[in-house]
Amino acid sequence: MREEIIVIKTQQKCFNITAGKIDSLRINSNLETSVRVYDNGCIGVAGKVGNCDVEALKKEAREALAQGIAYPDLPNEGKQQSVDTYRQLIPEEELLPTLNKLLARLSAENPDFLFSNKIILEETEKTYSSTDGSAYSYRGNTMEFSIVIKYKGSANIMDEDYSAEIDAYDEDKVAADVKLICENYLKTIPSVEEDKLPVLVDMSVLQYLLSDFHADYYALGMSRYKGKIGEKIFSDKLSILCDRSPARQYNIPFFDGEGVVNEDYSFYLVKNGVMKGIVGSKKTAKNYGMPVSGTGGAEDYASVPVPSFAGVTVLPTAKSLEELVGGRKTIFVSVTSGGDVTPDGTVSFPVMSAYLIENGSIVGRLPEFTVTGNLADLFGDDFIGAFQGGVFSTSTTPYLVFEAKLVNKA
Amino acid sequence: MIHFKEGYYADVRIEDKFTTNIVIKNGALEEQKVISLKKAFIRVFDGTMWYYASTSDTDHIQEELDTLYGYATENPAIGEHPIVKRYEVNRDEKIVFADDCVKDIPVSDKQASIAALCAACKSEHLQLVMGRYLDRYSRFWFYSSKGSEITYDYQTTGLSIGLGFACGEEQFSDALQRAGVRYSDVRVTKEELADFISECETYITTAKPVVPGSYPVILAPMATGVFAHESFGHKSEADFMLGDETMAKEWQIGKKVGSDILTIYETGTIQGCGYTPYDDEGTKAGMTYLIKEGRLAGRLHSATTAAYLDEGLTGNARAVNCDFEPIVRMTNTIVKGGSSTVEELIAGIEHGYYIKDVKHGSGMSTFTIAPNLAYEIENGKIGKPVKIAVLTGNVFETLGLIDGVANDETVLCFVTGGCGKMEQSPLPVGLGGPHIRVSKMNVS
Repeated sequence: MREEIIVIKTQQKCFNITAGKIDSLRINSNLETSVRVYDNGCIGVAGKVGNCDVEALKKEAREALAQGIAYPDLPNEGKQQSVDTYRQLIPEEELLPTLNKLLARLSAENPDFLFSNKIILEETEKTYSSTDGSAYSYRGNTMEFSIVIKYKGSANIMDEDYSAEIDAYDEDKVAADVKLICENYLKTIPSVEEDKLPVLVDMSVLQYLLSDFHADYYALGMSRYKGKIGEKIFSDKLSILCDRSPARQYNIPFFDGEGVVNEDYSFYLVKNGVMKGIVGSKKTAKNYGMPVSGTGGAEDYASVPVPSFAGVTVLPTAKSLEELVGGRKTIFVSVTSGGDVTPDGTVSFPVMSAYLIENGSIVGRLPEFTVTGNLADLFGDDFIGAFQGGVFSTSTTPYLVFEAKLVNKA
Repeated sequence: MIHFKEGYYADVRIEDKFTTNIVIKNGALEEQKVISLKKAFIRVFDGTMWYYASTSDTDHIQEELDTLYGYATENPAIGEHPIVKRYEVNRDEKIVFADDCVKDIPVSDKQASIAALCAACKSEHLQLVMGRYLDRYSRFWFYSSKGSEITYDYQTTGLSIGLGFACGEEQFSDALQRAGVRYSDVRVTKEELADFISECETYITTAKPVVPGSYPVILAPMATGVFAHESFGHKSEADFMLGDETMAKEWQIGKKVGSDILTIYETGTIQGCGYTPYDDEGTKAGMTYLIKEGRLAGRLHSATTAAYLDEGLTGNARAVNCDFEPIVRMTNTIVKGGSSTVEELIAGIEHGYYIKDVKHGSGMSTFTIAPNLAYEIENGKIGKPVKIAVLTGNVFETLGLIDGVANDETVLCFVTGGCGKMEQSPLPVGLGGPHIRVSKMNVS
């Protein structure tokens, strides 16, 4: 009988912003322990929040084997590794005054706008150990800005947002990014005449694609790309991967929820347009005859492992938008209002806030419209490339550029 | 016994939550999780800042509270603060589900009920059957430094049969869900299931794309509920008006915001997934009309927003769980039924679409609804299935374009999904209404 113990300790400091000022501080400290046991082709899971008696949890997990939940016992290589990427972004005692100073500056520099929502600092410590000898530990932290921007007098709940996960705090850069959006929000321009243009979007657009790479969907014939592992399905310029590299990810452990560590901490779903793999757990790997992908996760501390898209990202193909489109007109999609995909792969997402970029600079804010296209085209012939940060100097996430149709223009 | 200090406002919310989650995938048991978790959320206010903490160590709440007092600054006049003055003082015990509690149903019965339904799912293009049984029983305690002492309970139970179909290069997923507050009320017959599977089969094999454009649309009760929640419910949450004096002036009660036949109400009193007899600031649930006959009639408040706008409390300060502070949220948001029959609504449409159920929605200045099962309407009759990615429109224009409200008001309850707002998701909310007709929506 193999046993696994996973312990996750998180600490979060959350500063709430109302009308441009911090009005609350929330401190969440959480400790979760999970025990999984594997025996006779089944899994037993037990978990607890807070301090716990691990031996009691082990007993509970062994008793849960009687539920008869089938799960293969696929031990890991028995390696040990510890990674600590924690770095102090702002000294503890300076947090509140530093953030209040930033918010005062944002309000002063952008007097037509109100700022609200959260700035969150989170620290994670996670350990995984197994009776197969594997022992991993990780510590990381992140600072996340999620600032909602509202034009004073607007009937909207929000008009813009500034979201960024940062690796170093620089007030000037944050203020410059927020000012860039606020200034251009006020410059309204007419709709573009073109019905198809390059569109710059963040990675949320991948949501329309990812279920096709889920092991169950793929193996049961419900993926658009069923049977196509090894085949070219997208543009050469597109590579999608689950990335757990401590050098590239801020608060994601380098091992997955089942103690698997991938080569270069990466698992490719698509590499240079070729389908390379699907996101699965050890169970789906065994059931469907696929390699273990290191993409197992769990819904919570008491759950059986399931496939997880943690760390999913796109490889940049260029350093700037200019490198991708030259001086061509491009639309930066800033705020969308939902969106979805039809059974035949047609994606549509209404755009609430978008900006026209010409010769590398934002010209002004466009009226509302809807972006549409088929997944095969958007990520195929119409895919132009990806680069880090979009229009923001502080953002560390990749943005995608593809040509898409613009419909329902106001 | 919690000891509150003078010179501060403070409250403590405790939730003892029991949940069951059973998952059966293509006939095999994937998960059978029964969790009991007790947590507390503590708030201290000194008139300038709020300080919050959550803890699972509910035997030491007093220590957590005392730590928060250490962050705050004593304020002898805290009782006169406009937010603190607004807090209700309630002493009540409202236990309504204890005698019919899902904790008392053997997990084997719960598993058998979902397994039997999963076993009955068969059809040509059906690839994935994901059966879920979910329940929750929570007992809440709320104590405040003003003297509130409230205990109440909450319960939901339900089944969801998720079905995944594949036909050629196309895929389609939908789920049949039944949910309620009592185990005995939640039933799906095999005939209902067979009808649903048959409808999905017809959809995946025959649905045609639409030509993007503006069309008249009939929304079935679930779509109506999602539309009301997304288009106007979120706009009724008064926290988006904080600090915006122009907005407060513009957004006056009585302002014309929709068609004369449109009335939307909000209440936490309905026993369903949005049941909130007391909100997470200890305010008793009531009834709030958001729109009455096309005019703005009210909005949803926490004590902070009520104090800012000098309006009354509505019982809408809710937190998704004891890890978070309460913010302004919906409970049950419902479009009031009208006088037309559904047939009368459809009969007036030469070419349009019927939206039977939806996957999700969102709403700001533009709302979006992503339909699942949708049909064309031709010459006043429901016709063939169609593939629609999204319905969208400007919120205020569209509220004014509602030109038919049927008499079949329905309140829906769910055990999957929920409402998301910033970091707090998914919050269980109820929604619904009757069939409604909108003269024009963007369809793509």
